Amino acid sequence: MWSRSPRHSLSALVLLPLLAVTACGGGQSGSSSSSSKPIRIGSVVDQTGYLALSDKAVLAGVQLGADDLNAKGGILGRKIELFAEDWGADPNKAVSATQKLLSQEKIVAMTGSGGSAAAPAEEPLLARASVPSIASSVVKPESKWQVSVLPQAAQGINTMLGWLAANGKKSVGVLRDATPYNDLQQAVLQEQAKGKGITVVGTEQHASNAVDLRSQVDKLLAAKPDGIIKLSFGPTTLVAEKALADKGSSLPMLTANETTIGAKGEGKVYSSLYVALTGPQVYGSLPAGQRTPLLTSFAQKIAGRSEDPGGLARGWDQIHLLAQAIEKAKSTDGAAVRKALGEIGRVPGVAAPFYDFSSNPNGVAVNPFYLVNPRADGSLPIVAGPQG
Amino acid sequence: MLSTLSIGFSLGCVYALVGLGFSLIYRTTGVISFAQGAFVMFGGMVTAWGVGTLHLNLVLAGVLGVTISSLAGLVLALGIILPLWWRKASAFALILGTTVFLLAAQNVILKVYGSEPRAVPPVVNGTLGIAGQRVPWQTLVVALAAVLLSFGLAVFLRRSRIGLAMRAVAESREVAQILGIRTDVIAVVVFVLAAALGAVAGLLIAPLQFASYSVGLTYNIRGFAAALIGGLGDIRGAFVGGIFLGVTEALVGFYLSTKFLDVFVFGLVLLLLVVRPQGLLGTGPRLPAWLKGRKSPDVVPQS
Repeated sequence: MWSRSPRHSLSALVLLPLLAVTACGGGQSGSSSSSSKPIRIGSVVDQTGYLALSDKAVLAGVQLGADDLNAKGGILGRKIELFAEDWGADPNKAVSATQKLLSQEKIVAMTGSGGSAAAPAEEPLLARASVPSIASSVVKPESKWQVSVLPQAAQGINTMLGWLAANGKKSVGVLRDATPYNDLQQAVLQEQAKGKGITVVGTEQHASNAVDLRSQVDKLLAAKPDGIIKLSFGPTTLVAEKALADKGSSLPMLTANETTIGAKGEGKVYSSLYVALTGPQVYGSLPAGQRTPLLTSFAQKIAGRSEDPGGLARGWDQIHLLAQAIEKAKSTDGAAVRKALGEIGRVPGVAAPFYDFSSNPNGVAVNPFYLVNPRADGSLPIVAGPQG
Repeated sequence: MLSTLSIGFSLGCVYALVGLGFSLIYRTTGVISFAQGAFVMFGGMVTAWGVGTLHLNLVLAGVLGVTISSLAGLVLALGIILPLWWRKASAFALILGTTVFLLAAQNVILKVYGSEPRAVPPVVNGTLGIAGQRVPWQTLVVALAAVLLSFGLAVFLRRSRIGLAMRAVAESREVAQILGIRTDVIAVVVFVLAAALGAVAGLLIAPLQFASYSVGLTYNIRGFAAALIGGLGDIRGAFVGGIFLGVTEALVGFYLSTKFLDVFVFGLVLLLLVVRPQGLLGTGPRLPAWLKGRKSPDVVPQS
């Protein structure tokens, strides 16, 4: 096979490595699964803004999941390499963060933030680069390149309104900010409240980072509701509670998509707060029969960690869902991975019982929420289970 | 109504204290300092840190907050304002410099303390019953402090040597220099004093809200508006302007809309300034000069 001529042997020695390097291929959406290069996955999360507490937990969950997968050999025999950028709860920064991940870090897939303003900002860039993303915020139903592990707006609203109706409450005031997710939740709430015979007597809006909600709470209380539903997320829940407590009110205030740490802190400020939390967040309060093996295994894995279990679980599910899609596609090609996400069917998760992206990019298929009443001692007793 | 008014009055007092800082600096140095909001933030956050982390009592924590804020004012004056002055920088450069200071301060606090709001205990706990409604005692503390500080500042400007020097510089910097007054020293004193006022505003309002890195910009805008409403450079005007703004904001929010609150409130401010451009207490023509068929007068009112 080989010539005995030294010149030919030398040529072969030079050519063979060159041929090997060329065969490995390149490009952002690499198609070769035989490459030993790591699979580059990006993550755009809020590390400095009002969502930092929950988003840092999501990022930690993604890292935990990546470490878990890498320990088992990675995806398609390739290790996962993570790159994180901060969007600071500013959609403009989400665009530049995504741009950096796509153009400089050459990611093949992305996991996204819990902030609903980030996803629409990122979509055009992801579409141009043909890179799929699994967000932990709501995404538009027509989104082609993003899917979400966030519970659907209707599920949280259903849990809160269900409790109000079951306790004979007939009217509710709404506190919200100006985010796209709150717009969606408001529309869902108006519809569901009607069906449950509950009247929305007032809606007051505030800035996402507001530190004073006395005026808004005052106005809501003047309408004499039987309860308040707070659609906005983040530290403003504490601010609203303070305003209610300072007024001497004991009106129930309900909110969803909170962190466990947040809920426990909020329980010290106002005793009539009710928070819709997911399984990992209330694991300690769950009856034994509702602790699935997946949930128990995850709870053991994160024991002793300080981050929010809900965020950790979402991040974990994001990276594992991506891994399953890449394995199914047998490729990191963006279009193939996105198609595979729709074809992997009903997938059990940790943050939610099941995901199904076949017909809806917001793929949490079953209501995951338990309603708890945080106490001053830090406990989170469950007052209502997941509504249908 | 009483609850709404008490909210508006407490906010108005804080806007007044921030506006006082704006007016004091502008009157003496001609600089519009957009760093005032940073001192409100420092006052609240350092006090919260003192109470929550160092376990100091509220008074000591408050003193720490005002001290740190005053030192920050010194840094602003020596590090940004004076160097720009000595280089005869334009007014816009000075405004930009103070804005950069605010943004940097915000980033530092965010980095050190994070984005979670911090609680500050009130000076006096509990509420007072007035006409069947509950008004927090802290609201009355804020009001009393704002009135005393404003009065004290007015007395200081009229009776003390430094106050006299500040008024001289405000009248004419060149003449003050000829008379041997160190105008750059006066500028430093003014910036430190304004920083202390901002810090007091921050630590007074924090018990009614929360202390947070994000309050700087909010109080900046509103404090500046308070100073404009009262008449930029007019000390009494800043106080009146702050109360006017706070009460208007609370009433508009309650009776009209919280969704478009900023649009309504600042629209009203704009309308007021169109009708009375010198502000409520500033001196100058009652109508814009173009309505009287003359050229516009110079902008800066002096009281």
